[in-house]
Formats: sequence, C-alpha cells, structure tokens
Amino acid sequence: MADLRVLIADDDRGSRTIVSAMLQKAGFEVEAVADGQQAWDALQHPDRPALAIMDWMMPGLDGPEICRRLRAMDSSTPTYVILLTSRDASADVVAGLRSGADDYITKPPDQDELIARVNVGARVIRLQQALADRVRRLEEALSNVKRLQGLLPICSYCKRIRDDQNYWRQVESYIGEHSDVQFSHSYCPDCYERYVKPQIDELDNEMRNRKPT
Amino acid sequence: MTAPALDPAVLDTLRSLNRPGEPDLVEQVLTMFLEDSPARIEAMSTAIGARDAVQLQRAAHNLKGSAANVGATELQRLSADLAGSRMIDPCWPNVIPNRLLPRCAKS
Repeated sequence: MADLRVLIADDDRGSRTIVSAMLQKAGFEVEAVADGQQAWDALQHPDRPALAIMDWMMPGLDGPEICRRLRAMDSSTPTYVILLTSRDASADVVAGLRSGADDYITKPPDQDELIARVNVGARVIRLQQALADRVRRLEEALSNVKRLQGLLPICSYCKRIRDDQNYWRQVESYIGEHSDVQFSHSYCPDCYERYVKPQIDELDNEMRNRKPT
Repeated sequence: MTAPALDPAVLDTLRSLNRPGEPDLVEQVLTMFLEDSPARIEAMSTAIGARDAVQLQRAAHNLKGSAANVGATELQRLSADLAGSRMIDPCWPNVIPNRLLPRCAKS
C-alpha cells in the first residue's frame, strides 16, 4: 500500500531517521516530527496521515496522551497508532493499549516486524475506509428514499410531478433522479389496445392500400 | 578478545536501508549519535549532582535509545542498568564516572 502516509514522532533524531528509512525502503510516504505537540498538530490536518508511529516518551505530549486525545475524538476513520517504546514490561504494554494505541513495537525496532505491523495497520485502515464509504453511500440512498416517500404533487390528468423548483416533470425523470431506479419502456395490455394496436392497424391498411409499382 | 564497540549486524541493517541518491545512513546515524551523546551524558552528570533520579533515568533512557540505534551494545546495556536503577544503592552516583564515561570515551 504505497499510497499510505505514515507519521513518525520521536524526539531522538537517530531513531526517527532509522524508522523513516525503514518505511521509505518499503515504499511508504513518511512525515517525521520531533515531539508530541507537532505530532498532535499533524494529526489535526484535513489530509492527516492515516497511520502514526509514536515514541512513548516525548517532551510535551507523550505517546499515550496523544492516543487518549485521538480516541476522545469522533471519527469514522480514526488514526491507526503504533506506540514505539523501549518499555516492554507487560504492564506498560497494557497501559499503552489502554490509552488507545492499536499496536506497539519495542525499540530498537526490527525492520521486518515494523513493516509487517504497519501493513496490518494499512489493512485495518483500508477496511475502515471501505466501511465508512459504504455507510456514506447507504446514508445517501436513505435520504433519496426519504425524498421519494415525501408528498409529491402530481397532475391528475397528465400525471406529471412538480419538483422542488416548481417545474412539472415526467414521472420517470423525477423518480430516476431521486433514486437509483432505471426505467425500461414498454406498454401495458390496456395501452396496447388503446394506442399501439390502432397504429399497427393503420400501418397494415396503409401497406395493403399501397399499389405495387 | 573484547566484543566490537558497535554490533556489525546493526550496522549492516542500517547499510541495507541505504537508497540510491540519499546520504549514507550509517554515517548519518553515527554522526547524530556522536553529536547528541555528550549532551546526554552531561544531563546525566547534572542529574547526579542534583540527586535527581527522575532526570537521571530520563537521560539514561535517551542514551540507551541512541546507543541501540548504532549497535553500541555495551553502552546500551550500561545505560539500561542506569535507566532502570533506583536510588537504593548508596554508591549509585559512582556508576557514571567509574563505568560508563571511560567506555563512552573509548567508543
């Protein structure tokens, strides 16, 4: 998933450089920052990175604090957070995950493990985006259905419908625009007798009356 | 025979991350390590002077991290000891001058 942008937040520039190099080698786009406040700011941008790798201990805001703040926000596509930490006691791991981190990697990171875990994150992000898209499409469809359920002014004679712009429209064009319905044009038996059959008869007569030249 | 100051496997990993047209990663990371370490050791000395265990542990933790980056295994181990130490050992201030600093100078 080369189009995934990853935020790296670490106050140690050596670690930052190495983790960036590992991700860039694997084809990820990287944005690196040196402290918690910069990380938090980067994650507030509209085109924020979808995945963040954050050091536990940073000046200002630490990794777990950023996780808690991120989780307090309501988002259909929350940032996937991997905590990077030299703390590997299980109590610390539990504290990190409880703060809202999705995963953790101990320092110094192993390249293969780092990339494998980032790919897990990428998979979760894709799933979240697909779900968010589906929910959005469902909501749109639902709002269309609601519009069709509303009161429609229809002409008693020609059966045209008045739309929001006070314009009288054919039933099929109105419904076609307000739903996913498509019309295939045909005729019912009554209209066949009333409209189609006379036209065919007329055509037959015309053919019969036509003298061969 | 003493172990090399820098773990060759760690340096090999760094080298494998080099990309064409980009500066050499081993050189970059080593330069950062050499530039940043004195301030960290200074911070440790200051913390010891002030008998500030929290600051000492923080500085030792930072040194441990950057030692790990370049594969300075022995330095990493010593700083890890210090980062995990508590002020229960009356001799704890001696850890730095006696054990850590000479090795840092050698590396």
